[in-house]
Amino acid sequence: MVRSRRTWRRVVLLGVPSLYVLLGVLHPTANPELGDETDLFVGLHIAQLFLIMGLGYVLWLLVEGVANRAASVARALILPFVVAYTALDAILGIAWGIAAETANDLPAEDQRGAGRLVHELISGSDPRGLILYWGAGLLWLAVALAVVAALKDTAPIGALVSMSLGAAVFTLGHAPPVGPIGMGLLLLGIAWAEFRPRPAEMLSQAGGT
Amino acid sequence: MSNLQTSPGTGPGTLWHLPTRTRRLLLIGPPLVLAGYTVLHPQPDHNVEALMDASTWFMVFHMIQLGLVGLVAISVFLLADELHRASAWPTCLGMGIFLVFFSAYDTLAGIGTGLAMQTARELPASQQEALFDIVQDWPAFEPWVIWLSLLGTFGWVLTLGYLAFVSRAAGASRAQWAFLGLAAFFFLLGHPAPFGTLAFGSLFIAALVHEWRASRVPGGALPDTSRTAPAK
Repeated sequence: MVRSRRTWRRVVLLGVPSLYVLLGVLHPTANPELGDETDLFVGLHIAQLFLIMGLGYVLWLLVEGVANRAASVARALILPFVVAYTALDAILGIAWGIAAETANDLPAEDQRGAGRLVHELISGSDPRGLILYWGAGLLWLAVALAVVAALKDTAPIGALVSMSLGAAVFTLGHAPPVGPIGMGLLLLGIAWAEFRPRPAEMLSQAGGT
Repeated sequence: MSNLQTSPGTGPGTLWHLPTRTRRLLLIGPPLVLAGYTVLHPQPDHNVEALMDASTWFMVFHMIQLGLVGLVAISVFLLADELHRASAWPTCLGMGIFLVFFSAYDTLAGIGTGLAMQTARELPASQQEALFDIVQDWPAFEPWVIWLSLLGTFGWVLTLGYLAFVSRAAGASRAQWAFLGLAAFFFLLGHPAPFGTLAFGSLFIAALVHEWRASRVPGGALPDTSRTAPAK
């Protein structure tokens, strides 16, 4: 029972970030414009909804059983992070893709309005888009750093540095190159922390030699 | 997550160690507020003018609703925690699905539609029609969006249905498990009033009944659970 739970934990902890790296690699470097194919873009952002849910669970698992204040902060921040990042994905990913896809079927003279909408959704000048983008990103950074702080007494320093760097880079976005790099560093840190020799394991290894 | 909360001034539960007053506020408040809030859900006529007129409120309403949905999820987790089922897979999976997919639906169909029609105000009439053509299906008929709505609803029904079932099995009052079941059922019919109001209102009543019984009889909300310490 304990063994299967540990296996499940590791599948989630390593599987979700790995899939996120894959998503980042497949993600176009630029969002589709009018006239572009949008199926992959929409599909990736639908898939990302599952990964956001999985990422929330990864963060939850990392602080499971940890009783310090940072762990409590991390648990409290997971929920707003999930909601905010979902909103970001829905507006700047799915809505963008569907708008561009629908607009592609409109007569050329009507596409200008659609282009305006697509531009409104993610243009750097719209404060609402910026608030959503950076709000979701900074919530991610806050929850990830809270997890790192919660693990500071138990995880190796190298793992904590890797997780912190990964979280900071991923704050900039999930598209390549920053998305896969950030999530890859986070994955490395998690694997390092998860597979480090535990005191009991070190004792048994010492006894065996 | 295995130690029961027993210190003075704090309520029962194992997930978050909260003062009784805060826990009650988070347990009972969000469903009540959201039940009332859904009455205000804008339901403009399905045409360009009506949607453009309602666009700002349509967008703002759904932004606020997004936050309230998160708070209601906390409320459900707290109730599940008191039933010792906060870490059960139907709770975690159901609430995870509800939070992510209902929030995505709310954002796309609510905020996205509002944003689009607000943008349309500044365009010539023909392009307003074009924008309307793009977003008119988002709240109800766009296939991708329908799936988000269905999955989000499924998550809610899974968790609330499960909590109704375990409440009944644990010997909770009939009112508690029946209203939890009703919260699941009414949400199947939609989130604006009247069904959203009834769904969140039912959750509010179930949480209220739970708290009322727990405060009158120590451990009375759940007579035969493995609770090891009386609720304060």
